Amino acid sequence: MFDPVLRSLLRLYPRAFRDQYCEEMLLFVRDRRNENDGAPRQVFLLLEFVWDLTIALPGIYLRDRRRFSECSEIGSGPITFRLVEAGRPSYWVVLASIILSLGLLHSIRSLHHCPGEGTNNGSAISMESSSLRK
Amino acid sequence: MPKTKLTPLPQAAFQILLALAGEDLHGYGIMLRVLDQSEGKIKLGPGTLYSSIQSLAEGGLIEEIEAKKSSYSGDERRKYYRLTSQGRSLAREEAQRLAELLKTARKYNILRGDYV
Repeated sequence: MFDPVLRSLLRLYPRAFRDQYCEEMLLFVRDRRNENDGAPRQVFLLLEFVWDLTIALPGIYLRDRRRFSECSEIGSGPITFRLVEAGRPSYWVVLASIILSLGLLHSIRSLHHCPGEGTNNGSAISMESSSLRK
Repeated sequence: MPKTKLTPLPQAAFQILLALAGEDLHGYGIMLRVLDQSEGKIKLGPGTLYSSIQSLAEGGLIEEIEAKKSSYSGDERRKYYRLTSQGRSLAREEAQRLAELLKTARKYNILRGDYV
């Protein structure tokens, strides 16, 4: 019972934090479990981790969020580059990307089905030029 | 230093810096050392410990070093942490700040006896 509950608890941490420290945290917990034999003590240990998680989690998420919004400037003078750290994009950005992708897909499909439809103006110009020649 | 709240140093972070002042330790070793130096009063959980480690590492106060054979378990997957010179000077500053606070508390008879 201990391991599945623990893994579910660890999933509550932000991904970046998990990637960096999950394995170590599991080793840490393994060591703590070795200290505490017996079912009641293990349950107590699990409760201790839940308590610790509730204390630590808000801070970790805040820091994680702050890190994503931080930009760093490179260079000095008239031209500077702003590096936005890679991270979780906002929901608006995701939504805009989906809409743009759908629009692009639709354009490609319509061009594929009727390639000449968009050149009406061109044909009108060529007709005018041919009438002028006459 | 990045924008993490390390001034004044949180208690857990200060304890971790003190624990690493003696030797390089891994997470569990840090927890044991903190428990020992606080006379059993502070038992860091994994979330608090690794959250503090992350802030300290981002602030350049501690650094991750290559895994070494642990006398405790011989597990090479563990990461070890070392106090940087910046971390040492910040720990010193924090200790001085606390000492001055203690001096003031003594001056106003809030605290008596030889604690330091």
